[in-house]
Amino acid sequence: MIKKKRSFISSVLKLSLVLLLNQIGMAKKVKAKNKPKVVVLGAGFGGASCISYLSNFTDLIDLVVVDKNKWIKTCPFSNLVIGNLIDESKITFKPKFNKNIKFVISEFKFIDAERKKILFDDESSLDFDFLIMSPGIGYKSKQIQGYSVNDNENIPHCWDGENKIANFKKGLDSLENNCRIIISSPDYPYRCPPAPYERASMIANYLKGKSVKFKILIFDSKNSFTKKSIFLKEWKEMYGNSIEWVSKQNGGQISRFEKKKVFNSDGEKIKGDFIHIIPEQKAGKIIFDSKLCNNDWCTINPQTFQLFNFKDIYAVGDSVDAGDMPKSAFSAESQAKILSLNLINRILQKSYLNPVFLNTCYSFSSNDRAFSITSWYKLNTTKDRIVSLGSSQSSDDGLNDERIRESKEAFGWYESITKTLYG
Amino acid sequence: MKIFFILMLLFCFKYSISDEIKPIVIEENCKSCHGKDYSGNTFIKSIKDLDKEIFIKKMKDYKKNNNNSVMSRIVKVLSVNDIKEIAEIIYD
Repeated sequence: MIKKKRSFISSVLKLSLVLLLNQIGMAKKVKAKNKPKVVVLGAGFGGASCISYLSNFTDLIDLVVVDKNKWIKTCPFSNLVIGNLIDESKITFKPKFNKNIKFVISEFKFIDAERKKILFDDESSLDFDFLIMSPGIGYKSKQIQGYSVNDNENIPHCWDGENKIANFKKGLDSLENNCRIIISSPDYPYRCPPAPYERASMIANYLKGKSVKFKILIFDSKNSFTKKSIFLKEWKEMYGNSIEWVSKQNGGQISRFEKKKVFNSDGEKIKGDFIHIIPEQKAGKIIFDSKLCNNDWCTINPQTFQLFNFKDIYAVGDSVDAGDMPKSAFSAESQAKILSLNLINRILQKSYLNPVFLNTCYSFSSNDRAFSITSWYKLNTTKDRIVSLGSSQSSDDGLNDERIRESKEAFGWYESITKTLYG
Repeated sequence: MKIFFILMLLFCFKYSISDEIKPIVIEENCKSCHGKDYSGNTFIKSIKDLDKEIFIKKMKDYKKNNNNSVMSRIVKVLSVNDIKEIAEIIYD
């Protein structure tokens, strides 16, 4: 018994000594390294929101933002460019970050999680203490036989910030009376659930403005979609029978693509003058190239947004599995605030705050008509999943005034958020 | 039995978004539309220059209102206590 007691006391003393030495070591390390370096990868809505929030703490952290582009082209409101409601310059921003934030413009190719280093195409590298990844979405390949996102012959999908809207509109411009447009809408989850239907509306708005007679067929890999009842009503009211939606169970899933025609899963051939495939999606390419994710989307701790298995790497926005939250710019911004708040809490060794998130998605059906869906989100009781507190949307039979008011509110949100993020 | 019902009622009224959630976490979401300094813009109302009591009244009105506006839908989930605590953060 005495031997056991002595051995226990000796173990405690050894452990205390190790802890003390560790603390001295850590203190020296912190002193030597000064402030921890936080690198934000991607300056889209998720990344830029982290930068905006963390820029209040630059006395505590060194903040670096990395993006491959000097100019940010936003996905929100890009459908409005297609619909000719706004010019492309209105969704293009040159970020004005605070002077004490380093902005690195370079193409990144690999994240070395073990050595905490980002490697760039030009062979240079950047160290980090904490990394926040917000790379947006990537695309699944071979979902539709014969279709490739990289084939420049195809109509560009325009589902990210790439500079191809002009090509898309050029394709629309070439359409003549009685043309047929085919849109293939992907299965969940994908970026901005109502966007394929808003895009159909904006294409219709554009062609109607040019007095071109058209038919839009939306072939869907789903049996329903968000705000469906409002979209169907708006389409009827604004465009008569010119927009038709085909559900998955009625042959909506496209399985093969050829020039000017597609085939659905029943083998039926459908010809089109303008074939717009919205590809199936997954997390951003850099995440897979760096072997940081085993599934289509990053698994994160929803309280901190720390990547599963990588304690100093965080992910936010469209690349993460955020439970019930849709992949939207509004969601990404709401998540980014919690991530940033709790990262600062971690650095200050304070306890984490319990999160709450908000999302509001506006969709336009024509020039001055919009409607929305809104929801708050919390963590579930086991704190491992984000759950909706119940979503609510605009009225199906909304009056003109309501639709017009919501279109103005949508512009208001976009103006506020882009001013906050990009100056 | 009466006590059970009273406790149930109290539980129902107590439930709000802010159970275990700090008001600052809710309030951060207001900035998405109203701007970092709440000044709004051409299409979104400023809440910066409102009096605290007027803000609380307007929020309570949104909560009561059944016009299904975006604000009304957002505020519905908040308790009166949430509203007061958010006002404290914005105006103090």
